[in-house]
Amino acid sequence: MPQFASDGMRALFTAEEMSFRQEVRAFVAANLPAEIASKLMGGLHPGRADVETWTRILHERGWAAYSWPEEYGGPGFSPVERYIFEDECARAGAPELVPFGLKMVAPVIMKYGDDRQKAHYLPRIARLDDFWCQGYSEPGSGSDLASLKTRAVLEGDRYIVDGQKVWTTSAHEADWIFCLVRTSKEGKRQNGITFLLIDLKSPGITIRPIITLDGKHEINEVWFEGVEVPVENRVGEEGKGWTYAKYLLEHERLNFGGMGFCKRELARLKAMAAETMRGGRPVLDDPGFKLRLEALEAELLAVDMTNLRFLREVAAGRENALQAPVLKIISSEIQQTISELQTRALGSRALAFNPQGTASNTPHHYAAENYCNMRKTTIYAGSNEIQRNIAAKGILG
Amino acid sequence: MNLAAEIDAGDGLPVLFEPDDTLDMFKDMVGRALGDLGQADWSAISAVLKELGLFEALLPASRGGYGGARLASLVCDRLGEAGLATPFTVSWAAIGRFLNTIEGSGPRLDEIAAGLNEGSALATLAMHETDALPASRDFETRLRHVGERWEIDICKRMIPFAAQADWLFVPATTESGAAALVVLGRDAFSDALRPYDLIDGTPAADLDITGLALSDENILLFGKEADAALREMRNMLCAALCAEAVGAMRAMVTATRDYLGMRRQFGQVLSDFQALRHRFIDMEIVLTKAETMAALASAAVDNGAGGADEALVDKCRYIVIRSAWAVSQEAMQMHGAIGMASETPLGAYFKRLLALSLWFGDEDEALLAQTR
Ligand SMILES: Cc1cc2nc3c(=O)[nH]c(=O)nc-3n(C[C@H](O)[C@H](O)[C@H](O)COP(=O)(O)OP(=O)(O)OC[C@H]3O[C@@H](n4cnc5c(N)ncnc54)[C@H](O)[C@@H]3O)c2cc1C
Repeated sequence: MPQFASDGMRALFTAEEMSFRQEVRAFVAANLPAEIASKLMGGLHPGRADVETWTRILHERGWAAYSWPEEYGGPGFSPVERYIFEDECARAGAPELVPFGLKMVAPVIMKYGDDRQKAHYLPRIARLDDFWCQGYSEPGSGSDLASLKTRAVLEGDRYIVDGQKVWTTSAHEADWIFCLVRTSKEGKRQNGITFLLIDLKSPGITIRPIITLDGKHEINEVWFEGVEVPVENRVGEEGKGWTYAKYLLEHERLNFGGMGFCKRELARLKAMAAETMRGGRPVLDDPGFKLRLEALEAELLAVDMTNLRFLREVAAGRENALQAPVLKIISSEIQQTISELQTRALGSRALAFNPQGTASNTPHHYAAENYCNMRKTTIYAGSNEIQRNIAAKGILG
Repeated sequence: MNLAAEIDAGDGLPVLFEPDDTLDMFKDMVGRALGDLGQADWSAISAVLKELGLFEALLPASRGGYGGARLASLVCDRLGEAGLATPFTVSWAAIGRFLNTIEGSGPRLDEIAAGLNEGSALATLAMHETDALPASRDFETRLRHVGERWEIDICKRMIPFAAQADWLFVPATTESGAAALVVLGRDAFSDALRPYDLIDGTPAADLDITGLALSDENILLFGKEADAALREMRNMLCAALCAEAVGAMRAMVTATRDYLGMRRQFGQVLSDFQALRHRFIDMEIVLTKAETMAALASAAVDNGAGGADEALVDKCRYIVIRSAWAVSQEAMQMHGAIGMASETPLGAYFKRLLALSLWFGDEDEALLAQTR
């Protein structure tokens, strides 16, 4: 019996897609290292080494750059195949591949980079020789990204970069950062923005940790003081960075699914509820909890199926103004709801504090820590308020 | 100024929601004193409360104090707003207040009460065992008669401020299935504690001891009396946690108001965006109802000569906990990324509200409690 509608309902997938699912499932079962899977199944976040190991395994199979077209060394999966691939990997406990390289900077390089950039960076991204991070946000520029101030001045054959990026995920583990920088203050502010690729080992870069409320070091401040960036590290034209960043948003508009991750966390939720006693019986049998769990499963099904529906619509060329913002909103909210219900399931047993990344010798599900951490999903990648503004603009004008 | 002296003990408290200058003054003084302290440890906080005459003010009216649960909750509210997780709630609001109501029940209790009333000693209550909910009967902790003596097998989890406590109150079940309330001095339990921190920074500990020999002095109450005492402390603790939660929520609402008025994006302050204006007012609405219900909960405890109206306390708890989830999530969202950084106080309030919301079970539990 398939556990989720998306596993095997005949009306949902073609025969080819179903056999593709089997192929991925078998590969993951045979190749995902057990210690990585058990870590993630226990609620721990993967470290760089875990992601590297898994990326290399997939690379051997030709699946590391699974979202790329064949011409750049990807397997050329259709959108639905990508969905299936992510679903199977995440549910088996595989770490998410570094999105900043694969899904963010790579498509920009493919579309706007020169031949040297394509030849140099893309294979390194696919193999995870370079771990990328994203330098967009600044202290004064969050939702209003176009107001960014980090300055880049062209001097001969290099830019001199000064300024500060903030909330930069994984900068402390990364090798490279792609940045939006200001190269002009003239005219429309969007037109003075340039897209630069910066080696994080460059002199003048300082990375400082920001510890989040869950006690984890995930994000950073990145300071640039007189950092020299060769002009060949500019993608496309000077002053066109905003266009490229927007292309990225549009190109990757249906990227924010995370449905496999949700299903893995749902399974964890049920395990937590089965082992925790509340009022003398397992939480899983508690009438209040049961109602919430049923509601959550219905909700997740609605999100998952809407995701699949959008993928089919977009693949058929039927894009509309709702799809991307709606997908971001509903996917991020369901992720939060799952982590919230995990915390509720454990109740007082969720309260012992054990931040990610610290050693723990007691069994711990990281439910409350992850609940705190997951607040990010409605804030980053264009906050859910901004997504609503985008959707409203698209529909109401 | 000494608060106890200011309060006209004869009058008791005004009816609920009646604006009252003395109570307002009291609130202001406690709030200001705690605000000046910042993130202090308990000895500094208790010194300030002592200087304000707070421990005397908490005495029953018959002994010149104000006595009520409402006063204790008011302090809890201010502690919550100041972002302080302290032993005040369990030690003074729950245990101290209870001991004062049964004054003269024996030398050991009087000794403990005296220490608490002076603000010098600290007591805690072991409520949780294996179950996620605090146990209220059929404890796994067993009290046995062995020959002439008593022995206890203790298995308690998540005892707040255990390592700091001078006295540990331990609910247990006797061989005949009756409840018993046992008290231990620190020498009897401190070495066996397994301490850790909770997500809101509250120090807690698990405790397992087998075959601990007790003397008669350790055993405070049996049967119905023990049940009633536990209910009383539990109800007061519920009311006190509601008050703390409301204080913490108010701090988050205030922080959000200030931040929306200050943070500029797209050339305007966030508080100019109508979507956020409405969301913010919804937070105020939720907070207002929670404040009302937290006040009602402590009034229900004060009122309960024969035990508080538990159905009423549960309704209050339902509203407060529901509000705590909503306010903490909304405040975090409206701050954007900066709210998640641990250098800002917002995350600490978020986690404090999480801990307060789960201590007695979430709001579903508050609803279900009356159906069990
Ligand atoms: C864990 C985490 C990881 C991140 N990783 C990265 C990263 O790797 N790289 C990177 O560049 N950035 C990263 N970010 C930053 C993220 O992109 C920003 O947090 C986001 O753009 C929001 O900006 P802000 O935090 O400054 O909030 P603000 O823009 O200040 O917004 C505050 C609140 O106001 C709301 N708001 C703002 N404008 C409007 C409006 N017009 N109408 C209605 N509501 C509005 C917002 O939705 C939010 O709720 C990360 C953030 C987090 C939390």
